[in-house]
Amino acid sequence: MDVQNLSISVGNNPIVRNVSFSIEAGKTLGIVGESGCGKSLTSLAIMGLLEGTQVRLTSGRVIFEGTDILKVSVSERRALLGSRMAMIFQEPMTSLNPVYRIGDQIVEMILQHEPVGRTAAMQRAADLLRRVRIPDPESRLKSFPHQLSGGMRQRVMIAIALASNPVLLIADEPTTALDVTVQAQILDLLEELKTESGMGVILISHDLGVIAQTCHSVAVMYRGQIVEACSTVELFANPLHPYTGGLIVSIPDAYSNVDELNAIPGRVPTIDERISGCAFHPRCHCAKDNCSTQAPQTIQRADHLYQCHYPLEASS
Amino acid sequence: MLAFTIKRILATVPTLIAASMLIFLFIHLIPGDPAAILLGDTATPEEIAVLTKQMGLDQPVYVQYLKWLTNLLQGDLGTSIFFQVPVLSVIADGAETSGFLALMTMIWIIVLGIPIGAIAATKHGTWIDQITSGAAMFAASVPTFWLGLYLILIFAVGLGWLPSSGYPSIFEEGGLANLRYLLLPSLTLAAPNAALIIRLVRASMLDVQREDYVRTARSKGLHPVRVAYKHVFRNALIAVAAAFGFTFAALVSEAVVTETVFSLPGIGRTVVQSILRRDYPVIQGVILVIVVLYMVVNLLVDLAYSWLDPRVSLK
Ligand SMILES: Nc1ncnc2c1ncn2[C@@H]1O[C@H](COP(=O)(O)OP(=O)(O)OP(=O)(O)O)[C@@H](O)[C@H]1O
Ligand SMILES: [Mg+2]
Repeated sequence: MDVQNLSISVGNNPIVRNVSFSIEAGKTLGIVGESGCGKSLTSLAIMGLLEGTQVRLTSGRVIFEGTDILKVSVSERRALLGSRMAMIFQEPMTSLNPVYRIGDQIVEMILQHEPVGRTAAMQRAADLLRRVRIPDPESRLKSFPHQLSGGMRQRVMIAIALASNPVLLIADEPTTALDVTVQAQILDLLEELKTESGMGVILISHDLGVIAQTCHSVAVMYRGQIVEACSTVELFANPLHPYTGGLIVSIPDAYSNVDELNAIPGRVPTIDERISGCAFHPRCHCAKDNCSTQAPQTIQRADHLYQCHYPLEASS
Repeated sequence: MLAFTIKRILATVPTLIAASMLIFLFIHLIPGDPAAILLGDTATPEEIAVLTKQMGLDQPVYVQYLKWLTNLLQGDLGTSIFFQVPVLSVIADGAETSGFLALMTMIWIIVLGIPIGAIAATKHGTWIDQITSGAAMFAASVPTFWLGLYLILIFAVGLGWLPSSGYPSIFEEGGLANLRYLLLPSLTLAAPNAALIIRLVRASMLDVQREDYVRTARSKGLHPVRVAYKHVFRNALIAVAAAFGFTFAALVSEAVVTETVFSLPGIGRTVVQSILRRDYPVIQGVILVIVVLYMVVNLLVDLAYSWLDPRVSLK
């Protein structure tokens, strides 16, 4: 999948600007950024799940298996959803319909995309629950969502997403709402399932530590723009954008003992604040005069993309 | 489910006892000597004494209550002062009319309220939504008697399609076709309540549409109609079910007005006439019947609720 110059607005307020990235089968792309920077909007836009809100896609192309899926008809688009690309959401507690049994919610996905009978689909649903490591799948099929913990619900969501063997899985902060031990289990599970099925995964997180463990490449987002993108190894070895540098030193007990609260001073500006020049300059310790007036262009150095007038010096 | 039902029925017992006490005391709330008031200004002291004894008003209150309650449990609601027949048979006389009126009204409310509300929600923001919402607003704010009179004017007097008043029993000549006498009354009675349901269905569907699990449903690639029906509507119904309990309370008072406007021989009219005649035993009896019905309706609402929402556990 190739995402090119995607821009999203709420009303007249641009929230995501010119976001581009690409992802290959069998690889994991991490998108990292602070809360509210537009990660969820970007993934919902790719899935075509923004209709019915005031959120508008203003430009961009999403090339998936050779076609721009933003241009195809609504029904062709629907046929892709679930079968070729699937998504798991940030909110495991509320993402399952409270009035239906787990089994029925998985079966709904299977029946939507495959010509199988209900009994066969239910059998498949039990297999899927086993694949996502839910103990005693047969009886779990009959549970209602409120009878499961958050981690279990997220596993069910993963089972639903994998039901029709998608080639692309978007995981929007799949572990943010869960506690740490469960987080690790879910991430391991995703990694394993990815290796098994060879699908591409977009893993969204605000935690660079999570990204470091699982992703081949990373895109760092700040205020609706990708400010730096490269392979994970390169990012940790040679962070060029000061924001990335700040994120890396703020990973707990990692590469330095800098007081993590001071790593990136200030806060994410709200979306209605207009910032001239580079969006990060008010919080940047390397900012010079022209940073507040002139927006930096995307610069490419080998396979490393960044948007900064004064990149951190390569250390190796 | 069965355990829940039994528990829920048992829970109504204390309420019923409290209600029966209130209804019993009702006759004692009449200022002065009830017997004298019931008999009017021209009564002689002897007549008053006889009635006092006949009504048992010379005995202590708790004895009177227990006696009344014992009779009640045997199906004896007392004797109508005006008709001098058992209250139960006075009520039974109006029951057919009121029963069919209620049934037809409920049908109208469901077949009009739920689909129109659902359509308005799925067509949110379009002219369809605006027209139905406007019409619902209008129907909800029009007084019952006014709507009834206008329907009579248009469909009975003007077009001559439907009868304007009365209701011959379906066991008399005409049979089931006699139900057409109840078409206008039931429509009158249904209008404001159907409007309420329309607005409620619409509002709760719009609410549910924003839920995360609806987004999940759409991410499965389901057809929008299936999403609207299986996911949005199904969850919106939970809020709507609760409203039916309140609708019943509104229906009771509006039914009295409607039966009067259309001169229907129903329980509502019996109540009005009994009040004018100061036939207190009948009024007591009718109130009791309404209270019991109200509890039955709420019991059904609760059962529907636990059936619609698995989170309402059957503890
Ligand atoms: N439906 C909507 N209507 C209006 N504004 C919205 C809507 N959805 C999101 N936004 C705004 O868009 C911005 C980006 O939201 P988004 O959910 O993409 O952030 P995020 O990066 O996923 O953050 P988080 O880490 O908290 O999930 C936020 O400031 C949010 O307030
Ligand atoms: Mg998000």
